[in-house]
Amino acid sequence: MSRPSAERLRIPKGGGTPATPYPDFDVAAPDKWALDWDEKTRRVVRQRVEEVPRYRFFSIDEARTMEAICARILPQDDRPPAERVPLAPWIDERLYDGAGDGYRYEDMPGDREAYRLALRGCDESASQLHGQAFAVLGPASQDEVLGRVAVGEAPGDAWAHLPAIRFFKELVGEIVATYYAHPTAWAEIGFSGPASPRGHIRLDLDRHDPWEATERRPHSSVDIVRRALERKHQDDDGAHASGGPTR
Amino acid sequence: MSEPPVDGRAGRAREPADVLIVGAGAAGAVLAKELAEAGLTVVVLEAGPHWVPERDFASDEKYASQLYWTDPRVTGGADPIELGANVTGRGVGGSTVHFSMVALRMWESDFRVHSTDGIADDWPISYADLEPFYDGVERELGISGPMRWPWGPRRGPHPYREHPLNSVAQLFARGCDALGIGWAPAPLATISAPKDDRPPCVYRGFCVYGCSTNAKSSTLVTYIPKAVRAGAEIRAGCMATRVNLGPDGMARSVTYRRTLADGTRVDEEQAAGLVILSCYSIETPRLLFNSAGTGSPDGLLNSSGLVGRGLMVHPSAAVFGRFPELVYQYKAPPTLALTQDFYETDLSRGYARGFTIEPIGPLPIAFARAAQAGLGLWGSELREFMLDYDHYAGWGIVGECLPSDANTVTLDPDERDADDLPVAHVTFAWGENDRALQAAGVARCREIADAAGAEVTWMADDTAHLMGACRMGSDPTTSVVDRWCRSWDVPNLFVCDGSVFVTSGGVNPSLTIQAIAARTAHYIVAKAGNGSPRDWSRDGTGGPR
Repeated sequence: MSRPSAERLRIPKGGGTPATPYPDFDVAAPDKWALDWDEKTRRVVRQRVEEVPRYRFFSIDEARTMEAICARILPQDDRPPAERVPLAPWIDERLYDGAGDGYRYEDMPGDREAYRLALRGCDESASQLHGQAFAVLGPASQDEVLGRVAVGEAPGDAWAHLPAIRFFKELVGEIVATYYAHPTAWAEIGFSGPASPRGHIRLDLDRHDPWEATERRPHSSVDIVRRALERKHQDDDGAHASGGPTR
Repeated sequence: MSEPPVDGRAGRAREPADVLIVGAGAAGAVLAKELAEAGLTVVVLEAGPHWVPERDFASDEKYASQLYWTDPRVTGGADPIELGANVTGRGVGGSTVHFSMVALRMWESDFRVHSTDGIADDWPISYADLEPFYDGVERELGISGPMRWPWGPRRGPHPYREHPLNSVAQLFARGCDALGIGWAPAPLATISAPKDDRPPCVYRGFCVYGCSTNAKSSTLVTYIPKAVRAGAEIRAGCMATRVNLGPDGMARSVTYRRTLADGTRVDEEQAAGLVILSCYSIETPRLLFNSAGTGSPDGLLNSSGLVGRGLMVHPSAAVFGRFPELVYQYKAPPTLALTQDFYETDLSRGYARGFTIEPIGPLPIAFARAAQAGLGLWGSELREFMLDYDHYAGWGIVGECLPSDANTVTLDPDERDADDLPVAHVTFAWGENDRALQAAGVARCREIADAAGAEVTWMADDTAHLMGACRMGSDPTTSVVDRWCRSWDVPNLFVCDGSVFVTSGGVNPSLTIQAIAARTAHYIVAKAGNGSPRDWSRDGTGGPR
């Protein structure tokens, strides 16, 4: 049995990262815990924080590769290992349970097969490009492999059986969904988290309730977005064939 | 097929119901309440659970996956639709438990686009046919919106006062004002003052993950409790697997698989005088295909060959802007203002029909995934980008999608679900008009963001809402159901949900689905007389049409 839900979750303020604009924000501060975290939410999030599943789907080698991939898709080098948000174990659990999100692309195998193929593919690419398994490469080489997977140019036999671009989007989507489901990530980005039953009172622009995050160190993503748009613009030239209506 | 219907728990024979409804979502709940209150005996089969909001809904984005239809489906075609969260629901209340509550009516011209624009087909009903039912549903849900509505058909005030604008809607209004674009507070299916035993909205912002305070007017907390009080039985955890016909070609019963408390699944059967399928644009066609028999080798109700054809989805690309002000985009219902200045055809734009623009307020997972899709971000850049979450605001379109018979729901030839039934295979591609319309919509969204003071903007593709796949019409060779949602092929079998849409409109479809359901209920009650079961055969008094 888990501990009684009245006991607060201990989560680092500001998500424990030096770069956060909200260094003193505690998403489970005593008043928030009392007024914003209803019983059901406490149980759901406590389980996520405290009951990290053990590996049952991936082999030991696969789990190591999966962890190495997660560490590059969502790097947490700024935190001591014990404070990092666990990512790969939740992917393992979903695959073990056979849970899905309600659809499979007709040109993709099922999730279990897709992940196994992709993990093999990352090792094949790593070995052809750098002569080593993915998990033991340095971060820059790992990023190179993943960058090639992202654009469908990674070498290796496994990628002949798996649409790499599509898989990479699904992979990043799942890792991101796992990370931003954790209260440590909420605190880091100034998301106030659970809000039931109290809700919010101050809805106006530039206003916030006293129990919401206060920005202490302004941070802007404008440069990141401009760089990304430039890259995307380059990619889009000559790649008009697929995608949504406006691509 | 000849055994009597059996209660799986007790092994007793069950009485045939007057009406059996499959699906307790937007349409099924309205039908159940109206028909039960008219004195008919009503049973509703629902594949998912019967939610108790305070027990089952957490303030949590990830946990909400329990609200979506996550059984396997295959999606494909040139532009595969993302199924799951965006377009499906599971459990009593269906997708009204997690929809964004925007309660807009379709316009007069939406029902006759062939006549006015020379595209697609006219509906067999007009706005005037639906108007009293829009009124009734809005009253029942306590729609909160402005006194005066500046667009579309003339209408009276919304039943409840509008909600205040949140920061995202304030930025949207600022951008619209700067450009001379009209905007209005959004009419929403969440109450702004107490109604019945429900308290008003507290602006917690988890609306699309299940409302735990009951302010949200999902059918789970509005129509369903009234249906139950009027005697309807909501049978949750029961997945319909087959509609059975009798020797006379009439619908006799529905076979369903019930999940028992210990997790085992048993087949049961419920007989009824009238059967209504309200399983939405994928599961309704799938159930009809899985009910194929000797007289209907290509699926029930499919003499026209149109079951599963004409599936539509709204293009709903969004533009996000980074603002110097703190936005805290997660607070309050996501859409608190909107514009319909670009709704109808303007030939100077180079495409037919148009769109509504609505602010959105994604929580962190949805926002990170939008950034991934729109900017291709991953790695340390993505994490650093997300530190700026509180400075973003975004709005997107609900754009018209023209119907095409090439966009389909079929049975997958290979894949089967846990019950060994073939799963649905969805095939979709945008048409040229859809692409031009979406490009124009994104451009408008960007202009509004720029005018509101955004320092940088970016766009993320998305889709929302399903419509069509069992269209209504006035000709049995070109439609599946008639203007009352009664099927042409089996006189006592109705299809009543979003799948009967002929065109998609450019508004969130729930209010129209519910108005159509209320109208169908009105028709059935009128035909059924004083609450007595009746003969629905074609040559019986069920006709004329």
